Amino acid sequence: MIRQDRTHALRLLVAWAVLSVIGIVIALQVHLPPGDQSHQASDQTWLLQLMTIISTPVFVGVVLFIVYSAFAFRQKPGAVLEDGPPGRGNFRVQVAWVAITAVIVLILAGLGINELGSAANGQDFSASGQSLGTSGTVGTTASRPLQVQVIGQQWYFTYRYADYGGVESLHLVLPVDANVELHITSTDILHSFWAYQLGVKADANPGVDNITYLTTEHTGNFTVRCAELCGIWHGNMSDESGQVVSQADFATWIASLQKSEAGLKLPPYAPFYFPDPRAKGT
Amino acid sequence: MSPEVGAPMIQSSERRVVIPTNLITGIVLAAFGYWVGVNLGNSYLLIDDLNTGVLLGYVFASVLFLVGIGFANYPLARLFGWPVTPQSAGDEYKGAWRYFNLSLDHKVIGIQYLVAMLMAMLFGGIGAMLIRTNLLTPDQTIVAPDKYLTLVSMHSVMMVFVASAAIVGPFGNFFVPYMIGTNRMAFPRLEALSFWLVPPAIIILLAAPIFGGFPTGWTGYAPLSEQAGQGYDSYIVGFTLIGIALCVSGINMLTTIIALRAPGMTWTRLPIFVWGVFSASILGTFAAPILAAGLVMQGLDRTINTSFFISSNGGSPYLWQNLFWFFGHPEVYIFILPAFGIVLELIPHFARKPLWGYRTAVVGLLGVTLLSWFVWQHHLFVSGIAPALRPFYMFSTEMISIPTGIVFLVAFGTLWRAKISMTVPMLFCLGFLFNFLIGGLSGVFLSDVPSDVTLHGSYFSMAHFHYTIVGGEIFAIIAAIYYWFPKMTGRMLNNTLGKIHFWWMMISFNLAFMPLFAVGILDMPRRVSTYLPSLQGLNDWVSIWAYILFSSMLFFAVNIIWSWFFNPKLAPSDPWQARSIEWQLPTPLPKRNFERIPTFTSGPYDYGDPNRRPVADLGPEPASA
Amino acid sequence: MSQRAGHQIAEPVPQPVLSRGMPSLIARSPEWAPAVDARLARIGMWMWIGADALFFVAWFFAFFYLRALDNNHDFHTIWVVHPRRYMGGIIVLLIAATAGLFWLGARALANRRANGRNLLWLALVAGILCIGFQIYEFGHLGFDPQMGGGYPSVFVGLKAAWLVQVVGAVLWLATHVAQAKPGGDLIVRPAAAITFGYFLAFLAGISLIAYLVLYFV
Repeated sequence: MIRQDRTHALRLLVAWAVLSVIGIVIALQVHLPPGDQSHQASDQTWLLQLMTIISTPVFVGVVLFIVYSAFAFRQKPGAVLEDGPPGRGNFRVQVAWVAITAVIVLILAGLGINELGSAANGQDFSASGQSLGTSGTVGTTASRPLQVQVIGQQWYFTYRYADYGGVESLHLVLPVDANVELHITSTDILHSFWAYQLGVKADANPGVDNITYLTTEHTGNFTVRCAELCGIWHGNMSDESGQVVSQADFATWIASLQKSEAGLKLPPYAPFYFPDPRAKGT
Repeated sequence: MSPEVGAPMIQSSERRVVIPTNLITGIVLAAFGYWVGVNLGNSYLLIDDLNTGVLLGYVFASVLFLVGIGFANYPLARLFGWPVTPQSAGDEYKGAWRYFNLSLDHKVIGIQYLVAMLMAMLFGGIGAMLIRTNLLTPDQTIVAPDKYLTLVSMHSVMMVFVASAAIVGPFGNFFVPYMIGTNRMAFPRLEALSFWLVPPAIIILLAAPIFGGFPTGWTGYAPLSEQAGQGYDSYIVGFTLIGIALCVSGINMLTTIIALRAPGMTWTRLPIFVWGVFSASILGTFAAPILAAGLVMQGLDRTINTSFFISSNGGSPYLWQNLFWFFGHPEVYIFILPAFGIVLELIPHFARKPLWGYRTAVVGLLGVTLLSWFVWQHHLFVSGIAPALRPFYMFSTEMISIPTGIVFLVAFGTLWRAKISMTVPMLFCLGFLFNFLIGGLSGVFLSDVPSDVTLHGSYFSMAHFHYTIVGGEIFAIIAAIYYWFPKMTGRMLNNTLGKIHFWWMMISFNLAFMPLFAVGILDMPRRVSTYLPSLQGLNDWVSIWAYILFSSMLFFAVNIIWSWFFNPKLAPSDPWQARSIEWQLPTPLPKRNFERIPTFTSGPYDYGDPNRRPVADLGPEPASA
Repeated sequence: MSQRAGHQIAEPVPQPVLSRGMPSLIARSPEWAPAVDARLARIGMWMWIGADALFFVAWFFAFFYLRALDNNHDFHTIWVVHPRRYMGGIIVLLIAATAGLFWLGARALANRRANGRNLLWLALVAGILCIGFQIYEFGHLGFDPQMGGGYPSVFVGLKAAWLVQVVGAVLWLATHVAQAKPGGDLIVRPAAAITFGYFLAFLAGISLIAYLVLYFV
């Protein structure tokens, strides 16, 4: 009996080790999103990669076990049914299994919490609902991040640069190597601001100033989408011309924006806006 | 039913007021109720986009439908002192007609549930096919976006109805009384009510397109739902009915399992399927009222203009998100816990081994039940609600993989050096393990906040929950149908067709849903009718395999219809040579479950033990007494 | 087999060690016996009360959540006149009286004392009065829920949800009163009546909490 146990276990173990190594090598080849345009994005890429690597041996092991037992432990079809050995559980195996899963869970949770609490993701966890600082000062210093308000409405996003007099743009342009504080809000219903390549997603709620942090690292284009169902044109609520540009280009761009909007009477800047109740947008 | 059963309280001399109640009176009264409700709402109450009328119409129609079916007879008889028909008196109608009428027999209710659920699954499946057809092209050339969102919403809500009742409804109602050795449910009327709430819910949901459909998906997030037209009232009433059905069926199941176990049926001998139903019923009983309260709030917002979810008027959309997911996360375990129960129940019978680590498995199921109350905010990681609590919810979510891992451990321990007979139900169980593994592992990706930021609301999460629900729960349901069909209907399902069905479904399911993980990772949000043209290749691949997946159901349908209605050959009473008690009873099942309450003498999984006893003493009643 | 007919409890058959606790009851009695039904009703009622408690938890959660957020400073605006506190007092008293009287009535019935039925009539009148007062309050709110505000919303919704359940409970109470007439089946109902009393007591408790929350917080 025990010898049979050992033979099966040894075969499985060897096959698992070999296949896991192969699986991990393959998993390492896969390019995972969202890329490295921002610090957050590269952190997420790294975390996704790591979780893929951790889950590969688990996946391989379970599938191997299912396939192996389906072949090694089956009865011949049509034969008289035989009963298997009446094992009712092995305490040590159970404890070991629970301990292993618990350790994996703890590692994953620890990594996630560490990543969440890292300085790049904001000074503290409870950043929601804070009001903005005074607008009008030039941002992008280490001590004071650039503040951009993202306003979702059916069915586009508007961006207001708090530090530049609250000027508005329909495309998000950010300077490179800058700390950015995105203040996301909505004027009608729920939206979700998803800048894919930047690794940023946050819901836009009416009456809420939802804050998320961002550190840009590479220039390039990025896509903005809405990731929360918001009515019939939800699928078209995307903008593919978001840009991360150099500091100098950003200064030029924002200056021209300020100039072009100098004559316009923009609504007063506020941390969030209370829309008309029950405005039927359809 | 033999004459000595039950307690005939009516003397033949007494006057009996006969209220005719059947399906036809139910439908007539429902139509009348709808008319009354609409007119009442539109004429005398507030008019806000005529929501009041539609809402009241649905409510009146549902209530009067239940009255017409016969649920008011008992209270009215009690109120006016008419003679009461005892619960034990048996059904009013005989033959096939009783399957279309109020029946208090748990066997009839189980069959009613099974057929209703398969029908609803067909509606939901057609919806899925239409969705995939639209996604063949990256723009909206096939369906207009509002129609597309209606399709998505109808498909999701219908499938949630199915998933929440498709195991506890048919198999729980049918087999739990057998497995615990009783002739009755604790509350047969509540049991029947839990079924008869389902057809109105399905019909009301199907009525949504008449009023323009609704664009909210199954989550119904306010304030989008406050904007939505009259079609959304279907969601409110339909989901409320399902919530009540969940709660009522849960109360019935819990009380039955707690109080009506036969002698010898100790908690540690309870079949693991009953444990799965038990834990799901705990969640259903206590989570569904939260949903009902939230839906009442939405109904008030849409009719008498309160402002629960209007932030400019002192409400908050966060309130709905919290209430909905506080119900919604236990809800997804209502889907999967009985599926765990089915898989762990079937594996020992086909592996011919005792369930390995029975007590650990129970701890696993109850652990999931407990933990599922503390994870709901992982659906709201990016919503901005209480970001300080995100580490806690991340941790509790990942904790759930420990009891879920136990389920896998128990399955593997049972398979270890077993003598597996590779039948169709066993194939579906192994398929379940494979699919649910992928679903579970992708869930770990979603549970970590930083990676969830990218994956949340994308096709990745859509693929994740389809792996757990379709690949998990639906596979378990199909395994259960193949396994228990001979006992439920007296006919075997065809083995060859079943094997073709399994491989067809398993392969097409994985080929259809695996690429959706990639689609999600490549920047495609859920519930969109347009997408990046570069993703068209992947989407077309998915659509084609989805059609093939749908076609696999043809084998299933043909198999069921042919075997049930056209195959004259009676199934043997124990075709699987399984040990558990339902297989020790004759086929077809007698009207009365047990002539005498059985005494259980051992557990249901004692395979391979040379000294084992029969599972229960089913002998004739002792001549004493 | 014949002893199973009717609602008489069969002679308890001595059972082996196997039967312990609750399953022993079903083993001893025919499955539709009143004793079995009474026990099931008691367990089921506790389940239902637990479920209903969570229903009301959702409403209280809504109250405190909206109050904490106070969006647009519109949770409790100045034009919302605080409702009349004496209304709540009456409701609490009525429901408490209902539950208490009802309890007494059920016990009296159990002992088959003649005054039980009269107490039940009193309880029924109290329940109907309670509904009447609540409807009166809805007619004289002192604010318009349509004008918005979190407090008016929760007030109207919570009270309405509670009222619907009270109406159902009073209807059921009426069935008990109807049953208590001479010739009613006195064997089954006292146990069911007491079990039903739990639910009335629960509703009274909810109205008390609602009163404290809605009128004083």
